[in-house]
Amino acid sequence: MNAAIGKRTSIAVTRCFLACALCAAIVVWSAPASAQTTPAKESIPELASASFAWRATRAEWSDPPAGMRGPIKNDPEHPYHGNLDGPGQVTVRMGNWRDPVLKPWAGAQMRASNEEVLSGKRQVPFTAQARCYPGGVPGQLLYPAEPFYFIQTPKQVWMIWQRDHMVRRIYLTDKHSETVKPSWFGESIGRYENGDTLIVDTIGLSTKNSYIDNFRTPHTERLHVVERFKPAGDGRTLEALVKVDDPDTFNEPLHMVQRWRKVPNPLLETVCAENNADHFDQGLFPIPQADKPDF
Amino acid sequence: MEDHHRVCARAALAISAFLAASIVSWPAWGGEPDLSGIYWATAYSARIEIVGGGQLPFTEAGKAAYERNIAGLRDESLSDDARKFCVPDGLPRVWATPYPFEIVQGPPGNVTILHELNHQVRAVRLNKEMPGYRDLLAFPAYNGHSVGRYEDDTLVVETAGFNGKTFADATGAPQSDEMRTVERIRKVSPTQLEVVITVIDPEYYAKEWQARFVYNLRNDLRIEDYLCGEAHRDISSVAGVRRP
Repeated sequence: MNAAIGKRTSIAVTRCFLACALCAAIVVWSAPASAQTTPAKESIPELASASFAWRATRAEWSDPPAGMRGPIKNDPEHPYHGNLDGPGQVTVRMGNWRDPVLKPWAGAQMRASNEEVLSGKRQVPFTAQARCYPGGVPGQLLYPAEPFYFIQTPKQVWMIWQRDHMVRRIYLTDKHSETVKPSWFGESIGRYENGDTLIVDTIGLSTKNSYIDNFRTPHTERLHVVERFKPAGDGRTLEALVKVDDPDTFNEPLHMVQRWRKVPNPLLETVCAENNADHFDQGLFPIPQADKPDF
Repeated sequence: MEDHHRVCARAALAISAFLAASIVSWPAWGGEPDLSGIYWATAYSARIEIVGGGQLPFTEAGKAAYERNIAGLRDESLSDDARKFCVPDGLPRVWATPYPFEIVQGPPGNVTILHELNHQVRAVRLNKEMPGYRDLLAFPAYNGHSVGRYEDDTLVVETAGFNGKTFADATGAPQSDEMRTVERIRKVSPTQLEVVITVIDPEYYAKEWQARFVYNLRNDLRIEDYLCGEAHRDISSVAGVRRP
């Protein structure tokens, strides 16, 4: 190798190095610039955390703002007296099957459920989460004793109940699937609004053992639920305004409210099927079990 | 000379492409690997296959417990509660699931693993201390208590505080509440996830042992609701699944 070729090679290497450096510089320099031109991240309510969760304040729906048709209430002939309602005989929840908002079939079904309790056949009527069933939508929101957790990603929201680790998934898209196979939690799509509200729209809800409240108010597969989750009280509480529309069950849409307190609990494992036998012979609804395993 | 130019151009392009790729995947660069997604196994084995092959390294007590479990499951004096009542499977059995599962790198500070099977949810707390021995004794769990950390491309999960009510596999391999596990979870290709789990359970096993599971990324799927005793997703495509 002579000196001239050696020099040329070294110039080429230097040039090559410079070219590489230039390309790299362009890439590195342009990346933050392009990041700056993308729109600022839209603010969303902070619902998700590894260190806090949301615990429901009641197991019944609260009333909506004035002027809206509210939830189904207790049968006035059989007042409810809960465990926390002071001295007196504890009773179970009996839905007001005479509520004029109910279609006749729904009122009749609720009346039959009440009769089952009054006749003593079932001392404790079906309650989804006490008997290890999913609460459905919106019924799951009424589970009171243990908190639920959110996970938020740009494309999806998860709601995870500590109790029996029930999970709802909300896809942040603007359209439901063309066909939805009915299921316990249906198909939920969602979006954020005003930077402080998560709006969840759910269809495709199956009907077997699925109720919109703890009064065993039924629904059909036409049920359409819109939930608006919004933090309140400086972020210490969460509130949902829920609209339930099912023209085959209700003469007009119902509006109902649930509230949660922020609690500093990390997610634990709570297994419903454990120690859940009918020890006091109350005719409890049997918990789900598989007589034949899946695999 | 032309060769030099070509080599130089290629080198420049390659370096820029590498840098561009690094910047595009900025959140994952030097931080955490992207393990999020829905995954589904292509094979299932009722008997756990251990790394290196061979039999589980039972202690005397382990061997006796295994024989009791096998006999009990056969004459139904013992129930497989993970299948009959759909309680959580525990580790490592949950990794032998023929149903899809998903990994979510959230909420901040956690990784959450959500299984379709028995709607199991595992919260892995990142860069936290394992709860103390007394806390673990006071709150035992089927899937234990998990803490995790990232080591390069791998999520390392340590778990303790099991309840001793689980089987290591569907044949009834025994587990004690003193068991500890270490899972190493990583992508082995853009579309494949590998989980290698080390099981340390001196009561029933004379030495630690490992099992390895590989899953395909299946973000075309959605995790479905699962309730014990109902009809679920068709899993006949998973090799080794036998419908009872």
